[in-house]
Amino acid sequence: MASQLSVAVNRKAVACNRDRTKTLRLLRYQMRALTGQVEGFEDDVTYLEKRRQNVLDGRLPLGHEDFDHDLQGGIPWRGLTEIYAPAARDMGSAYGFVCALFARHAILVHATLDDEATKGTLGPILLVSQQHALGEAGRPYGRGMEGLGLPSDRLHFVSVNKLTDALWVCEEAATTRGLGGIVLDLRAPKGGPNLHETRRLHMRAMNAGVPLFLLRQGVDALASVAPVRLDVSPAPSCEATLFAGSSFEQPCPGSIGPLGLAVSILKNKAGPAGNSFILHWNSHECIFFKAASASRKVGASPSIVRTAHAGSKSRHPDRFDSFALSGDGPHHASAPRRVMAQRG
Amino acid sequence: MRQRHGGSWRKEVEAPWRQKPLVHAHKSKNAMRLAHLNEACLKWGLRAGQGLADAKAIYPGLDIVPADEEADHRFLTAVADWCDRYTPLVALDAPDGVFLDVTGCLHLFGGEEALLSDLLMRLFHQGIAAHAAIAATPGTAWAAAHHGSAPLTCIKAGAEASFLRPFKLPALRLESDTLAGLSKVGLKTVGDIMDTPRASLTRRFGRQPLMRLDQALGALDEALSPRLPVPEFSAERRFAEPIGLINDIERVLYSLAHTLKPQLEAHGAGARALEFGLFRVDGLVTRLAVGTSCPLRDPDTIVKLFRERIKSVGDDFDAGYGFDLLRLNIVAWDHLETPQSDFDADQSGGAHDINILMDRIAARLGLQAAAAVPVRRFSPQESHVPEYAECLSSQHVPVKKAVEHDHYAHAPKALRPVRLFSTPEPVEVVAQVPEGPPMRLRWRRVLYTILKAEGPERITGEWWGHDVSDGDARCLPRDYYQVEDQEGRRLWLFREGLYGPRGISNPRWFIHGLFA
Repeated sequence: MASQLSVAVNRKAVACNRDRTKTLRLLRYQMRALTGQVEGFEDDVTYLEKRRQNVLDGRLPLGHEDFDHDLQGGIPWRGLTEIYAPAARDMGSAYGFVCALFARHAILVHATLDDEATKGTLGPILLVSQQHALGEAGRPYGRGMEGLGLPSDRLHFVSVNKLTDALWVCEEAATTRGLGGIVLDLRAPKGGPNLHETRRLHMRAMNAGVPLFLLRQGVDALASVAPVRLDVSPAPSCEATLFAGSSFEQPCPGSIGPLGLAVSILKNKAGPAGNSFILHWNSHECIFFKAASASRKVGASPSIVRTAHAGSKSRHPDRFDSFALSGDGPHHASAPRRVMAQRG
Repeated sequence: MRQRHGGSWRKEVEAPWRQKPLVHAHKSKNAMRLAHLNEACLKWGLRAGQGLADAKAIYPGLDIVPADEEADHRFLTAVADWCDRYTPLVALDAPDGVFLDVTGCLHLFGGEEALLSDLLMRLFHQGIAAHAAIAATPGTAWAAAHHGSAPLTCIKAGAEASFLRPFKLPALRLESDTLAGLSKVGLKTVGDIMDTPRASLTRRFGRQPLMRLDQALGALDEALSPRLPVPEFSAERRFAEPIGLINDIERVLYSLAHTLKPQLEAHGAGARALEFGLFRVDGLVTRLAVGTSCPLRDPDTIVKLFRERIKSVGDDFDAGYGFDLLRLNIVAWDHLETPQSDFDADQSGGAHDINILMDRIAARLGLQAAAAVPVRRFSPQESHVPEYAECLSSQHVPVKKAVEHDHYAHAPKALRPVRLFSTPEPVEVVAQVPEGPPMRLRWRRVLYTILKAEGPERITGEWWGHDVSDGDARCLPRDYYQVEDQEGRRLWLFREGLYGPRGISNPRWFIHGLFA
């Protein structure tokens, strides 16, 4: 198996000779596949083929085995996907999740597709925000998104006052060739896009092969035709790793390492719904992973290792306790965690 | 007045309001005085500048309307806008005049008199009484229009001196002090000045009288400053019968764009900014402008852009009784090379379609968007202060490449949040030690318990360009902390100011962003 794999790597390396970074990334993936260091990365050359199929079939595997299994291969990369944030203050997590998806998509496309096919897939991303949403949860910050692995020069930002304008922009964008994706950020407790409007958006995005993420803050689920609806709320982060990849590797207690996200599948046409997962994002490798294996398998880049403050050690064992009443929206942030607690 | 009596209020000569004295009054030199009068006032001996009390004593039933200079200026601007139908070179002559440079335009309207009579007829139907004059110099035309007896005057080139000779001195646009001085020495008409020796006149009254005289006679050039720049490419269409349907307007727009296309091709140019002028029959001019992100000359795309623009104007776009003149101007252009096409599909990867999409969004949201520029891009700036470290710039401005520019050297080593509050929100914080990280915080009336904190990352205020002694908040140092609460929310907080003798007494805490 190892010799077959090395032949495949060489051929790929020659094909991508013009782009050194891409080659390096591919080799790194292959090395990790050989040593079994990447979570969810099969120790088989067919994994690349499978992943290529997933990217081309319009599914984005996140790298988290169970999550990808529930979604039959990953997040649909074509058509409408709804993402709910429980409240405006959780919008950072929901927005970061979408940015991480785009970053992961880009790296998978680079690793699996050749140059010609890549051109059409990695177009600019249109961020459409309602003005209310910006006031409540802050505006998107390009430097922060770059930290998650999404280069800000791919982003175009449109802020609108009215919902109808936002929907018009999305509909027009969904029919445009060459766009990499659309993110619609709404804060409309009442009068959001209805079933009919989401169908129009979904059909157009499906036809154009463009992913359209509808982010909603602080509202209950409304009727829509989106095949997947996720609830994304924050979860405690992992500890950062010092000297990752060396013999001096050790976790840094009390530090804020790879971020955690509690993702619940509220609606899933392709498989089971109702499960919740804690995903952690490694912005260096652009992959989601499970927390238990974080410290050993996923190394943080040495450049992001920071020292935590001495007085900030965790002294609160009851970190999953529910919280005080929130002032800015319905409070159901802890629901997914309760499910997880029941499941042990 | 137009609102009270309708746009054509001056057409009814026998109407009762034409017979009754009507004045505009304003406050001047600590008294209410008459600013403008109608014709009926002249019969009663009223004049501009007279005190309002005197005027009321002369005619007790005076109809008095407060003067509104801003409204007058708006009205004059609208008239100047409308005059664009005759020539692109229109200059304002506040408070009550407009200069038109009709050089080269006369043959389009059948000569001088035909142009003036057409202009006066149209203005009359709009309810505006006007005097117009054409002369070789602006000064003579101004004198004829303001002080001539006939509403329509055409002065042949070379006849200025003989024409101006009998005019009173105010016809030369002199200042009131100069006029008073000239009047004292017995110089009353333009002819008197012409006959006076120039040297003594200049010595006593300065350069102004002779300069104005020379300008009026053409010995000295007088420059007019047009309101709008003259477009390099322009096409227009006039209609015998006004049109008002959107479909008709779009059809005409397409034909105008089609007319311009060969000109643009000949110059190797493409439009970067276009202006579509719609001249309504009742004098209202609507100008719609769109910008493009790449040079453009395709008529279909131009129509698409303006279609969004017209939709965005919405109900304000009132065709009224129709438009009798439509004009398409190309205000800015850039070089556009015609690409060599082949049988292969578009090789730009859809970049052209995306540019068109961005332009359409900008055209549609131009007036209603939350920001002045609807489609924006994240552009890094050379600053450490987070809110200035990145600005949202127009999509037309190319984003600086990281490798080409040294802003990457200023890129922060620490993580930045994905959502940033434009204005940091104040929070109440409890910290273990004054200069330590927060333990608890209250933000938007919700209490958060902090489990992890990283920091501080000190960002010193940008003292350059700001007055440090002024206590400007931009000069205070900030200590940033990335904190995580017990639910896993990652927030970006900072403490503004320092403790201690050199700092301020009570540093405040703010939340500045939300991490993913």
